[in-house]
Amino acid sequence: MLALSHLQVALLFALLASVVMGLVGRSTDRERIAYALYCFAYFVGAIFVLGWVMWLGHG
Amino acid sequence: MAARRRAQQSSDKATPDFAWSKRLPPVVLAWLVPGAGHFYLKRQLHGSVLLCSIAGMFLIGLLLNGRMFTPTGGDLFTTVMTYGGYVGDLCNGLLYFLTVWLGYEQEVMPGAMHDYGTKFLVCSGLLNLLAVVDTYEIASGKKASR
Repeated sequence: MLALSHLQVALLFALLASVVMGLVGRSTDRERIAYALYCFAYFVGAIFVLGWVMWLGHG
Repeated sequence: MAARRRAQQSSDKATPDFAWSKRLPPVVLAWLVPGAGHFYLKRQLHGSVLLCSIAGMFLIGLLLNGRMFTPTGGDLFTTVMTYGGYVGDLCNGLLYFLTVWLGYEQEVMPGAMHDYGTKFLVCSGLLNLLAVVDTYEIASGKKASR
């Protein structure tokens, strides 16, 4: 079994999902790379925001 | 005029059959093996990236001891969750069938990593579904992929 932390698994998920979404979501290579980076940034942002919300919610 | 319209209508009717014979093989291939539809359409680089990403996510899900969903009835939440997860797992195509045929089975276990694994398995199927739709759009000429 893989021994990864929450953050590592979440980043791995963000990376793989962003690559696929970038590839199928746009028509040119330049747009694909930009869209993949955009998705990845939003994934990472959501990870940190939701992580903090949960941490603050638990007190 | 009427003859031309009739000819146009008959050509419209004929188009879908012809188109489906071109669209169906890449779509089925794309479902069975991630990226195979793009390989079939001579987009090797995109096919390779999709294969690595989607199969990689599936394998990570297995390494995290993720669970495959089996459709279960009961209350609404359980039904939606298990049937939805099962459809997501099925979207992995041969990866899912091979894993089940080779006897992979995982019980419900406590721990975040198992839960992550289950989500990886379902999400790899959903990403493969996106790849299937992309294959369909390229094969039908709706997307001019470069």
